[in-house]
Amino acid sequence: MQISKSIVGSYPKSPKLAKAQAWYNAGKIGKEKYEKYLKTYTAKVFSLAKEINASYTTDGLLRWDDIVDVTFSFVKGPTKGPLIRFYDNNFYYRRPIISSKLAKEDSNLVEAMGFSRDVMKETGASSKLKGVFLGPLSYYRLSEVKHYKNPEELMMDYSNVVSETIDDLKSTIDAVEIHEPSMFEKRIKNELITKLPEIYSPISSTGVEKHVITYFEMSHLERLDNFLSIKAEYHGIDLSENLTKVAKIYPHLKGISLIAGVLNTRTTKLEKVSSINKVLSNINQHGAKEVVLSNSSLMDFIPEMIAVKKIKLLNKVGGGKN
Amino acid sequence: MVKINSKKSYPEVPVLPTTVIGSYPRPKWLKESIRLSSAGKISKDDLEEAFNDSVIAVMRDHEVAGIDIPTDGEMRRDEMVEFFAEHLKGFKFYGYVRVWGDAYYRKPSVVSRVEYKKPMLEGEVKFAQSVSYTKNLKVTITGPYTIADWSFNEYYKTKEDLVFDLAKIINQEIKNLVKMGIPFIQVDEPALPTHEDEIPWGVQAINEAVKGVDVKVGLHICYGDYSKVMPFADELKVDQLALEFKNRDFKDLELIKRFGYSKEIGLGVVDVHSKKVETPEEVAKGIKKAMQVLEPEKIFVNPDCGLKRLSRKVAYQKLVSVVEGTRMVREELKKKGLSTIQLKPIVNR
Ligand SMILES: [Zn+2]
Repeated sequence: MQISKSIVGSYPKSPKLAKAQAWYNAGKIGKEKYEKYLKTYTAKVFSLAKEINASYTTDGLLRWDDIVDVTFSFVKGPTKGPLIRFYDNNFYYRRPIISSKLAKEDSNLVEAMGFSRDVMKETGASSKLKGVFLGPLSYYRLSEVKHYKNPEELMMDYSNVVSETIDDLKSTIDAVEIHEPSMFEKRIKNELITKLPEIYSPISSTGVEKHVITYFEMSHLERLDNFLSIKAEYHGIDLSENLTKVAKIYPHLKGISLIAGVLNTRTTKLEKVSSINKVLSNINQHGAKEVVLSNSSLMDFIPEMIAVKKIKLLNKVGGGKN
Repeated sequence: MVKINSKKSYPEVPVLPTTVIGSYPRPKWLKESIRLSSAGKISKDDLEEAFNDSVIAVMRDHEVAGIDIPTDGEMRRDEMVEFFAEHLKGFKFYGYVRVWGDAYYRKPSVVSRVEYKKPMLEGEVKFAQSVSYTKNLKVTITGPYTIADWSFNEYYKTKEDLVFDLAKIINQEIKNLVKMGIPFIQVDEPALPTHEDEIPWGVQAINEAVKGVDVKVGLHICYGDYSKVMPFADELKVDQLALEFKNRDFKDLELIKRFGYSKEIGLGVVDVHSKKVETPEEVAKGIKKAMQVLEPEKIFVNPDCGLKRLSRKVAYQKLVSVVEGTRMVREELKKKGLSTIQLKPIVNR
């Protein structure tokens, strides 16, 4: 079984960068000065990726407030609503209010990813750069929908917008990471889950490598096969928050290219390398094709110092080899 | 268990007492002093003086506005969990965690058994009492569930174990406040509605925290879905639920009827997220709406939440509206012979 590493999702944003962004948004500093800050902090993410010899990394989403905020850069139509709790975290996002048909917004994200690509080059990191998207199901779940009569229609339109945006990004990024934290959530109806492979078809048919990942508590484990049937090169599962369920997860992994979320990003407690190794050997025994070790979910929830410590743990896994 | 109606004498306050939820905007010069202090440019004594002066200023704002039961504006507290974590044993800080946009707090981690070192609020309360225009001070304290929920748990086997240990600590602290003569304690639990499956034992932990407390006890909850907490209202051994009503357009008053709630409410009548100052008439209208579902003797009038995010000017004007709106309704109650109530507990705990 091939083993590699990835940095997934967002990286903890330094309060200094957040302040610089606030200054920039208020017109107190210019674009050039702001991007200097952004570059400094984005470079830290890539340097970390380089240090653990990660096969894949994101840019840490530092330009954005959160993963939902990214959607406003490429979806035309939705307006920013009130601050809403992001799942059960003490972390809040602006809810997209959808009052018209979704369409693709040009350029914003392409420019942003181009910027990250350049920063990455300068740091000398050789990881593949991933663009990060919120998945259609979670987008529906986190929005206030006024325009669409049924969720399937909204998700399908969103899926098309994502697919077109991925096409625009083809020459800038190496892969895309699609986040579906709602996949195993209690409040989501099973009938929506069964429609996902179809809803994902525009995204699945893009020529870019796709990583679909889910995280947080898995309430409906029976959806695991639905999740794994979404067409993508890699599937990511949050093992760290579902330690009591892993025995039931392993048997589904035969032949799967798995992104194994082994670093819990909602606690400051550091994982034991021996425990990660045990998980790794279990995945291997159950016949997974390949495993990419990673943080389990967004890293906004922990202090930067802990995020760095956790990510560096991956260097010690599997006896320190790659 | 404390029996109420004992020989203890309780203060009298006007009917529909006006109060605050706790925090008030820090004066600009205090913020500047804090900045200078952390840069090592002014002494600890100078900073302490600035804190004290700001409490005097805040008290004065409350007095001029006409608030019956003020707080000290929580001038010394940066954040509602950090403050308590800093004063207890068992917590460690690794750094800042973002809550949204550019809002951060130093989210603490529990790394060993939590222990009470010494009274946490005694100093600030003593000072507030020494400069207050009234004995009827309210003191706010973050509840055990919220302290745990807004911290990382590296030590306890379960969150529940941590919460109950914290409850004992908070209980000790509250009892010390009562000994100091504080007639009204408000426990803040904004996190309580967050995880529905944890509410049943969260409620028990709050009861543990207020056990034996023989003064008025309120519980403040904001942001969440109150319909999740209301089924436990009878079980909660607090006298009052202080809730946001204004920014939900008083729709949640319906819950009082639906769940047959019969204890007191702290009625939020001004929105703390909006710069627009409500008129006294709007406040009066809100109170009257509440009086349709609850007797006036059971209604306290306050802002939805702490005022600290507003400018000092707007915060003050909102307090003035709270007071003037309340006075309009009081005039009508006076005609019915209702002018005062006692500030006392109404449940045994
Ligand atoms: Zn509040």
